[in-house]
Amino acid sequence: MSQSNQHIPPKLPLKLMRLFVNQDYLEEIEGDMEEIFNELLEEHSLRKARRIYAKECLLLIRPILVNFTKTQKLNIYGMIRLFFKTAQRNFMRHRLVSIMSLVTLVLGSVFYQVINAWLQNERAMDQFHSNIDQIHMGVARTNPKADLSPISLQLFFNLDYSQFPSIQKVSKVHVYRPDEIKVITPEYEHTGKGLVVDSTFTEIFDFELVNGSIIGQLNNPSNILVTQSFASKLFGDGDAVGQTVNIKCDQLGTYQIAGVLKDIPSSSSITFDFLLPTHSQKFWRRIPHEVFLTDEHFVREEFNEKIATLGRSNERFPESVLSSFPLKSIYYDRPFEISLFGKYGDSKNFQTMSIVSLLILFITAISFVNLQTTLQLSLVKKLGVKKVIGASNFDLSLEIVVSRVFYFLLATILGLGIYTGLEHYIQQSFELQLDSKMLENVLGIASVTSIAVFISLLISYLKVLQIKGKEAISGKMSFLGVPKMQRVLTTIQYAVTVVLLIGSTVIFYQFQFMLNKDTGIRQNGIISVDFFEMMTGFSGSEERLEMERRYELVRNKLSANPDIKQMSQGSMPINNISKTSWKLVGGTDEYTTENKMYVDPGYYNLFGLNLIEGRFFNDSLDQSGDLKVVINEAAKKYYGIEQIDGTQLMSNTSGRREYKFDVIGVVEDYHYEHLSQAVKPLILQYRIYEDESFLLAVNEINKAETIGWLEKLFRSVNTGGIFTFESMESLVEAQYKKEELTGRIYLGFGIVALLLSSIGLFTFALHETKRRTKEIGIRKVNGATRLNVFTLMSGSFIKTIAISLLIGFPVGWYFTSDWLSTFAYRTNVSFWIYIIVGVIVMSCAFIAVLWQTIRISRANPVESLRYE
Amino acid sequence: MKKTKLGEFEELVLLTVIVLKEDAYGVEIKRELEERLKETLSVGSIQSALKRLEEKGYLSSIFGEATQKRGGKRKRIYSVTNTGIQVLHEMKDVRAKLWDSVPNTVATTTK
Repeated sequence: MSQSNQHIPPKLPLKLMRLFVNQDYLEEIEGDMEEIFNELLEEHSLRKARRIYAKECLLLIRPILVNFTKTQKLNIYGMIRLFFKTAQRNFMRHRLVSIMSLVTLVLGSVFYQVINAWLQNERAMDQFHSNIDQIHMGVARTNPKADLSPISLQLFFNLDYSQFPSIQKVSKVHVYRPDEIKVITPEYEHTGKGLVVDSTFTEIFDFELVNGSIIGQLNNPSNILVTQSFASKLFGDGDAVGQTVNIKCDQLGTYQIAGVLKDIPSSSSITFDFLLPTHSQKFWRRIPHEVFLTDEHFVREEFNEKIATLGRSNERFPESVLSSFPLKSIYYDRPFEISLFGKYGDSKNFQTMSIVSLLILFITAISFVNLQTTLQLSLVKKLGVKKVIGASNFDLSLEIVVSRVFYFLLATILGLGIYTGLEHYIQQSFELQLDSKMLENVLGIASVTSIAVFISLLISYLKVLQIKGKEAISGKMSFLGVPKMQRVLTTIQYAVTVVLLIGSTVIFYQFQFMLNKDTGIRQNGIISVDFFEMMTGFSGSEERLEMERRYELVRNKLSANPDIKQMSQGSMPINNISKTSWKLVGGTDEYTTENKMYVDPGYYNLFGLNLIEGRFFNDSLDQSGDLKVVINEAAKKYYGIEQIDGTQLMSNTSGRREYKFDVIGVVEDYHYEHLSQAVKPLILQYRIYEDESFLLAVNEINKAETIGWLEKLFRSVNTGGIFTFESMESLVEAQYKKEELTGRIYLGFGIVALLLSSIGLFTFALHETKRRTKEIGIRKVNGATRLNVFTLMSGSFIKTIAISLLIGFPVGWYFTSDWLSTFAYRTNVSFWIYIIVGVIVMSCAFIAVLWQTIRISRANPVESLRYE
Repeated sequence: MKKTKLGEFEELVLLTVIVLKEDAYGVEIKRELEERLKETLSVGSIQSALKRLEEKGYLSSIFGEATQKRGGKRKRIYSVTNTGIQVLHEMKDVRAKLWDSVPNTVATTTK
């Protein structure tokens, strides 16, 4: 005995064996193993015996010998299968509530994802550039008080970037807006936004080619890179690479398409249709911006301090201050607005939308929880029976988990399907252009469904813990009544809905108000046509003379057309301000930045301005470029001018020199900015060149014909050009686009919220009527009429809605008046809005409970009493 | 119920149990089979075959003596049940009949 004890089998395999081998077989197998081990010892060394023993142990791991009994294994699988079957049966049996639960989840998650996709896109703005934190833009102020302007510091202030070792790459960027540049293929002239950049541009930013690397593609001066969608605009489905195009802007050139860029992602603030290399022409007329890439050691504050005064060596800008601005903050901070950036963010909007998305999530979760609680209440007896039979809490909760997983899977798949199907349409109606990202969509939708499902799971589980078998069967459970919690949640839900609806109504009213407000300027029937894109040739050259001939032709034809009532040249008076520095001659105040516009004498009649004092510009007395200005009332008041005779305003914006302008007239105030702004001082100067757009007041009756006529005229002076025109009405509408969109988004979500809340209320009513079936029977036996029962039942629901209206109205009032206060001119929020919203909400709620209450009030009391 | 089948290895184990009579326990079965098949077998393969056969009702077992060599653990002595013997006969018949139908040339050349 003692001998054998010296050579016991290795411990670890033994332990392992004891752990997994079935207890019933253990003694026998362990004995066999030990017997074999001892035999091995007679032939082999101890180490080898141990090794063989260990190997044998591992080979014992076989299903039939392992320590879970077959019966147990079958049970778990069978149980889950049963639960899925039960979940499916419950779904079919309580089809109404189940389908509504599903609709709630799907609707909620889809609309959440609509906002979420936008929020994600905003959050990811410009983040796809791997170096985004190290990209900056050179900026300057011409004097310490002037606005930041992003002009090339190299070009204007001779800043030498190579002095700063942490700056790695610099690129100048000339921006040509679609109205300033054309890409000409053999068939057509196309307009698009072009950037003229140094070859370093492609190294600083992460724009990519469809095929191959973008690096170095702009080294060749005859190369052009176009985006995928622009390429298909130019050449349809054909291969664009290798094709030759002509560029026409202030320069002319022939280029070969060297590569096709992937379309600019929606999360890029910089937008363009094509890239041109700077060195392909000697000179580009547009003032360039400048971006530069730094290494990680770059400290912007230090750099700004170093370069601040370096620009003063340029005698034109003795007070200039140079600095830099991080590119990633431009989107939200909006330090300047330039056409390089196709879009700017709005942090307030972002916040509001985040809140709205959370509200949708919240309402969805509440609705789903309410629905599932209602469903569970009708299952309480079944659960009671199960408990009496001997189901443990674990068994019951497993059943709930499976049923909820069922909902989760179904809703996520449906939601995803619907969202992907409607994505394009939804984004179009909200005017969002977002790249579709499948993974983000799955995550967004699954997060809503999972949160709602998880909360309802938790609540159901707590409920199950409370069930006591006997009481549940005899119907004595206290929570058989609609829980107070559910009533409170429904109230909150409706209150939120009310706030959203009030919000959307007010925004809509304000939008209409702004569109229709008399701005003091004519808006109807004015169109603008750009007959001459730009001046060609030098003055006196053959080219210029030809253009002047065509100009006279157009002008004569236009004035001869009886359907064109008024004519002027220049730009529409909307968002067309240039900010310049002005001060009153003889006044004590320093220069301030004021709004200025260029007009010609025809402007006055065309837009129906009203003169208050003096005169407007006049062809017989004034010439384009004269040092004379007409100001508006606000400016007169601002400068404290009493008499315009002899009054002069001084401007220094045009560089070193100061110019004095005679004030010759004052016009009545009119709105030339967004109506959220009060009318600010405005200075009008007569300075119009021949190539500027013609502004025409067209006879409304013959508008279509006149436009056709204009197109022919346009063609006669621009062979091959594409005729376009802009109307004042569309410009005004575009100006208030944002308000319209916000209103539409709020309305959309208000309706979704109303739907979800009504579904919630409907089930609430469904359950309540079921619960009170007997009670109503007794009431009827005691002589209650249908009407009595009907009012009794609807009353309890109407009360809930009334409370939520009471909560929702003041909150809605607070938020809308806060929003309206950002507008200088705002609509009066009449109490009608509240009444309309109240009536809509009430009637939806009423419809939701109507069916149930009518059903119960018509029920035969005999049937009701026999219920259950 | 579907007819339970007997695997080739199971058939060998079952036959070995009959051959060994009272000595038919795990290690002895393994030893006997290894000798006859001239290959090493793992305890796991023998044990799982035994357990499967027991589950199918071809084997029954009782605990036997505990020896010092086994560290005081009892043996499990296996014996074939009537159904076990029946199924072995069935297998033998099937094979015999099949061999009868095999053409003579094949039957003699393989020998």
